[in-house]
Amino acid sequence: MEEVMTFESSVKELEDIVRKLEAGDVELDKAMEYFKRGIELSKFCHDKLTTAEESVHMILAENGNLMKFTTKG
Amino acid sequence: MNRDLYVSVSELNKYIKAKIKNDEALMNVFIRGEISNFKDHFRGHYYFSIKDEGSKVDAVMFATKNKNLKFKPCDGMKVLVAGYVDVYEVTGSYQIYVEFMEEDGLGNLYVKFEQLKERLAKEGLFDQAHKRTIPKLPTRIGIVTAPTGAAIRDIISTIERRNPVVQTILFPTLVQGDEAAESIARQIGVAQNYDIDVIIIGRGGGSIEDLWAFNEEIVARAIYNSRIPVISAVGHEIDFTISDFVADLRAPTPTGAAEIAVVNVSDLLRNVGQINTRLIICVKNIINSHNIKLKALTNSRVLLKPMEMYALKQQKLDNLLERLWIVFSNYNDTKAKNLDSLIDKLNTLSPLNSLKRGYSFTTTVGGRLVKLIEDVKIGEQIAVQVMDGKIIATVLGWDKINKEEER
Repeated sequence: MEEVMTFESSVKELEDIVRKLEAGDVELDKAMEYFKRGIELSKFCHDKLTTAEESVHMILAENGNLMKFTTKG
Repeated sequence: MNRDLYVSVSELNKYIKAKIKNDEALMNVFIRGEISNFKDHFRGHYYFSIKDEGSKVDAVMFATKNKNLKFKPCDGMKVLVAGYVDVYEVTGSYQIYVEFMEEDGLGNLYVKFEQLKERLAKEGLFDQAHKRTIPKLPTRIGIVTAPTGAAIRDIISTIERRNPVVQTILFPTLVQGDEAAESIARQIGVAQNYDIDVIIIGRGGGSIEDLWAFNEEIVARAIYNSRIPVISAVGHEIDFTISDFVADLRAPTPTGAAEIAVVNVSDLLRNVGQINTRLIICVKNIINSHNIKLKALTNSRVLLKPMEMYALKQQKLDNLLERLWIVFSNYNDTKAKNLDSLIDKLNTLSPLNSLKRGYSFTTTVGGRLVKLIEDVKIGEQIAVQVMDGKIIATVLGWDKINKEEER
């Protein structure tokens, strides 16, 4: 069972990987493995920040339904 | 309908103003109450209300009158004022023109505030240990405030500016008046049923009465019981409410709350970009250093000229063989010489040599060496060995040599 990836956990894992690599002393095979994972994580984080899910502002109406809400106009 | 019956609004206000101005009781009034909605106009005039539990009245204290005040009035301050009542015709509202004002101890609301604060603090509602962490990258934010007004506009526009993919759900509430506290508390409760990462509660600036709902115990408890982290943003930077103390985080303003709740997405992108760059540089360095090691190895003499090593061994082997040969032949020579000398010795000792020189030796026919006279009998045949064969002879007699003579 893989843990659900969140932006925060991904950034943390990515930072850990970079720190390990920067500290040196990593076998080449392991380093390549880390690198592959690092690139994956980096892409995930980037996507998470830029993937435009529709930005919705809702208001809880008196009837208990969520309605679209706008402060403009 | 007789049109003459109708008077204009101005005429009405003028009439009332005249009535009031001429009322002696209103020419000198002394009032005890609490200041609220205090505004210090830039021209130096003070506009405010004076209120008690059930009622309030507008008041003005002009700059010429207030310049001698020993204190700076503010909302919630209990005061004694003296002045006169007059009507402001433009709005038809009457107000007290304050000539004199002095402090009358602390305002009741402040006392209430301090008492509640102390009680809730003792109960642990403000404990740091109970504070929940505000998530770094919320996807959906609950907002508990009035659906109209500056607060909700500021919050939503700030969120959109910083992270356009964040969603919000507004739980509309009253934010002032008697029912506001209950309304706020209820909506905080309702928000618990939605999948939201953080709740912002608050409202824009106002008098202490306007903000009072956020000082009510029911609101404090709703915040405390929220499973979702709560950011409180009530009024301006200088306003502190009970909500601020109970909430997991206090923001100075509604805009500030949105800034705290939503990280600027471009900052995050830059951060991810930087880590990514570090990652690539790191791996490049690692590959480089491995390459250097590899080159150093492939450039080593052993790999470049393996025959060299072989030649050395070859040379050593040759050398050994040579030495072996020398040792062996020396040994051989020595042995050969020894043998020769032995053979020489042997030669000199050989009886054959003696025979050459003319000596002979005698044996019996049976081959037994005759050394003494007694070794043979008269008449016995003997063999005399000479250089080129043997002479068979018969013993005719013998003559023993006297040993003394021999000497």
